[in-house]
Amino acid sequence: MPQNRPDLIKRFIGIASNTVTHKILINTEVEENTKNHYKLEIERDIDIALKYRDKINPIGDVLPEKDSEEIRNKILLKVKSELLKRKDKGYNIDFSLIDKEVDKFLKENKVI
Amino acid sequence: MVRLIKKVSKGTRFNQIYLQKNEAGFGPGETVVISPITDIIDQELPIFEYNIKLSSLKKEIVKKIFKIIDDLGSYGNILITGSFLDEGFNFEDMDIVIIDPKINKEKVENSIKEMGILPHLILIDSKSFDRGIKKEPLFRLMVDRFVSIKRTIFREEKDINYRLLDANLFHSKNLIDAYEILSIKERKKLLRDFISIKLFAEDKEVTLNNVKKEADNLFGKDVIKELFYYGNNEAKTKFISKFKKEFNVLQNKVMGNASKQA
Repeated sequence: MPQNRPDLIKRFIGIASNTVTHKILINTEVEENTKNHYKLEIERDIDIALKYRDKINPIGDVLPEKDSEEIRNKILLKVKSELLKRKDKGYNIDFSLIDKEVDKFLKENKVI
Repeated sequence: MVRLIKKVSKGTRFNQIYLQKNEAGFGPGETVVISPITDIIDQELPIFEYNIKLSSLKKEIVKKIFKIIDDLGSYGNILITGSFLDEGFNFEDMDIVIIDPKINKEKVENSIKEMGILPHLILIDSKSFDRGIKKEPLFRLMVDRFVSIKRTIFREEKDINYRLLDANLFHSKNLIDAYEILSIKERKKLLRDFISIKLFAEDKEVTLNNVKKEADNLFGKDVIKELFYYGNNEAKTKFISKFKKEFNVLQNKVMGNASKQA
C-alpha cells in the first residue's frame, strides 16, 4: 500500500484523468437517454479517487493552493493528451468540456 | 371460518354442492359460495432461470422481490443478474433490471431494503436495453445468466462501436492506477470488465465462462486464483505488468478500429 504523499497524489491524478477522460468520451458517444447507465461506473471511479483523496492531508479540507494548482494542471495535461490522440484519429470531441469536468471532479474530491 | 379446497366434478343430476357425510363444518341445506381458488390465494409469480439453477432459498428471495415490484407498479420484464446468482451468500447488492418500468423507484428500493437486501435498480426501456445488448459487452455479460419474471431470450447481433469501447476502457485502467487501494471484489470487477471488452472487440461471445477462460489464459490460472480468490498478493507485480501490456495492445487496437469506423 503506497503511503507517501507524492505517490498518493500521483495515483490520485491517474484516476482523476481516467475518470474525466471516460466521462468526456461517454458524453460524445452515448445518446442522452442512455447516459444514466454510465453514471454508476463514473460514480465508482469517483469513489476510488476518494479513497486516495482521503489519505492525502489535509483530509476533509481543500488542499493548499500550490498542491491543488499542480494537481489540476497535471490532470488537464493528461486528459488533453488522451483526447488529442483521439481527435487525430477522427473522434469528434468537445474540448470545451475539459476544464469544467476537471474542476467539477476536483471540487467533488475536495481538492479545490 | 371453515373453508374447503376441493376439485370440481360435474354430473347431470344435481345442481348443488355435494360433500361427503363426515365432512365437518357444513350442515345439509346451508347456502355456500364457491369460487375459483385463484381468487382467494395469491397467484405465485413465475421465475424463469436462464443458465442458472437457484437454490430453493434464493428462489424464495427472488419471489419476494418480484412480488414487491409487481405490487408497486407495472413493467415489461424484471431480470435479476450479477453476484446474487453466484453460489452462496457473498453478494453485497442485488442487480435488478426493470424493463419498461412504470414504478416509483424509491418505493421499490425502500421495500427491498426492508428485506435486508441492498438493491441496485436499473430502470431501462426495452429499446435502450436491446441497443445495450448490441453495443455493450457488459450488457451481454449481464444476460448470459439471469432469472426473470417473464420468459425471454436475448439474442442480438453485435454492433461494435469502437469509440464506446475505448471510452469504457478508461474505467478498467483504474485496475493499473489504483490496484493497491481496491478491494478484491473491485479488482475482479475491473478485470472482468476489461476482458469483456476484449472479447467483444475480438467479435467473440461475451459469456461468464469465456471471461474466466480468457483470464486464465492471459494471466495464468494460478495467478488469478492467488490474486482474486485468495487475496495473496505475491503474484501482483507479474499480473500488473502483464495487464499493462494487454491493456495497451487492446487500447491501440480499439483506437485503430475507431479511426476506421469514423
